[in-house]
Amino acid sequence: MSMNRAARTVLVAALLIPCVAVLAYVGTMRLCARQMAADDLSWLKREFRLSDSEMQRIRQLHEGYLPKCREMCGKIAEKQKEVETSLLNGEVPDQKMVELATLRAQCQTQMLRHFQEVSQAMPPEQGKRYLSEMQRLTLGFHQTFERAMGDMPSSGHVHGDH
Amino acid sequence: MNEEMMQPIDAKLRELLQAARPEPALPPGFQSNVWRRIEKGEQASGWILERLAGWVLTPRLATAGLAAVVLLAAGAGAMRGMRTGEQDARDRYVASVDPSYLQR
Repeated sequence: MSMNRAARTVLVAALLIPCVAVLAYVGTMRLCARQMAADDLSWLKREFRLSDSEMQRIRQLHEGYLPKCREMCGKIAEKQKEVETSLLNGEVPDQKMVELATLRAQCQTQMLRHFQEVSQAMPPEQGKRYLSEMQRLTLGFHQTFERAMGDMPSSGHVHGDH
Repeated sequence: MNEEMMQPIDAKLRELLQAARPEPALPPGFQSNVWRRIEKGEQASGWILERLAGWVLTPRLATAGLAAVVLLAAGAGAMRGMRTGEQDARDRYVASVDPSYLQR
């Protein structure tokens, strides 16, 4: 084999092999990621090691909760718009703000009630873990935010900023 | 006259300088040895390339090598995909019960 031909063969292999490796890596990564997040509830089944019958019950609860959640979101969005319109008109929408906060609180209460129902459909230990994980992921954000605001030095806390 | 006087001094100075910095004589065949070593280096790199090309062009070896690369890359991709997929799946569930979750 001539030196040039050998060099060309090695060069082609050196270019081709990384390309094949990248294709295999990206392809498998996407496939696995898609498989893992196949539907809304696939994470629950894996994370809390649920049986098919438990999943069936939880799916019913989930499907029952979604329309209520959507309805609540619609009401909040509507009230939010009203508040924004009032602000644009130069009004101080005290009452509307109270109504908006009430709707948000109702929404959170409904969500917590749903978490409780779902946790009861799980084995007790998993249910407890589910409940604390959901509270951390949903309400935890607000608590962390509020705690951070509370820890702020008074000189740096300007109400007009938020 | 001046030049005539300078010549013996130059010669003496040259001798003195040579004595101070002696130039060692090159060993016999020094140049040919240098060229031989250069050729050997070229032959070695050529030999490596030919050997590699030989492996690449051997179907059994090429298939095994490629399979190993694909398996390793796919394994790493699967592990990464499972990690990101797990996170995506969790986010998807939490966002389905709390639509504000993804806006944070």
